[in-house]
Amino acid sequence: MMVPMTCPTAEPLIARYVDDPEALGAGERQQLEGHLAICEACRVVLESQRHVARMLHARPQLPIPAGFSARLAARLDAEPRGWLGLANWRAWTVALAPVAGGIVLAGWLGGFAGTQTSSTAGEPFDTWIVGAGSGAGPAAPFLQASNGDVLLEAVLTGAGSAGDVDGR
Amino acid sequence: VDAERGLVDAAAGGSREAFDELVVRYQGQVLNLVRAMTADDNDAEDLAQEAFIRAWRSIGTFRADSAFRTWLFGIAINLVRTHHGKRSRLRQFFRPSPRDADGIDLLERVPVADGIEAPLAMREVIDRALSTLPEDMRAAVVLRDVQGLEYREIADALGLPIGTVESRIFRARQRLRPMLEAFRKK
Repeated sequence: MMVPMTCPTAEPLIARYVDDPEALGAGERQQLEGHLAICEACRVVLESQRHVARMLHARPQLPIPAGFSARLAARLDAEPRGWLGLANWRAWTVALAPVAGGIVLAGWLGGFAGTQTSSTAGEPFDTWIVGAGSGAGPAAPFLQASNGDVLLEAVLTGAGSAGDVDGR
Repeated sequence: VDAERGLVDAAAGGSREAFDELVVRYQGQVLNLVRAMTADDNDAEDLAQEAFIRAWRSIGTFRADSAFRTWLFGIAINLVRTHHGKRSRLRQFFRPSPRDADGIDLLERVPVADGIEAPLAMREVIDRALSTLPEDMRAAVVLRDVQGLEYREIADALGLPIGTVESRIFRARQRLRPMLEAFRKK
């Protein structure tokens, strides 16, 4: 059994019904027509909606002002295109979005591969520090420095070789 | 539709000739859309031109899943909204009189004459009546009743659910009825 339609439910459908009854679904249209048959207030609303729609459809069009096209063409001519269009950031950012995405993906994949390599190499951090004595890395002299003076000197002299530190 | 699709594709590829053809097809509609939204001839021309400039700049981003005119009208509506936003402070000093609601003031301000002036007067009354509507209602009813867009197209242009579009059009027409009824009786 079909539930009777109320005025608040019917009203928004009336606008569309005025424009094109077929645009409503068969069930919706049947409900609305059933409601209109018993509701005088909604029939008045339907008629006023029709009247306004007709008036607006009949609104006289504004004629295109003389020279409108020429003025627009002049403005369009002044717009940069081609290489000058690069100034249009929206155009080139959209065009380069896939490239940027590819770079980010490649960077991420590269970083992931690097992480995998170092972890599988079985080279823990402390091993690297111990190896610094033989010049394994630039941070090694600082990490091995036993007191503040040595550390300061290493900084001031640039600690060119691990031997400088080891010699003290 | 296919011919227009070809024009849009060519314009997106940088063809000014193709874009000029699109301008010829739509300049009248865009001009009338912004005139009905602003009720001002000078604003209408400036905003219509600006809509085409924006369309030319961004036609490369136009997606084929909507009609070109829907996309173009969406640009024009957004420009009108921005324009109204800038003018909102000024508008506070030039609010339509409350008597506009029953149409009397509108009719007294616009001379309704026979012959060539009558269509101008009718357009003026309609556009002034439209200008009393809140902007969201105005955009929906103008796109439907002045421009003739389908409900689905209006929903796309305004980025709204179709039920919201139906509701706004209904409420807009209800508000316009007394003003336009008075015009008919005159």
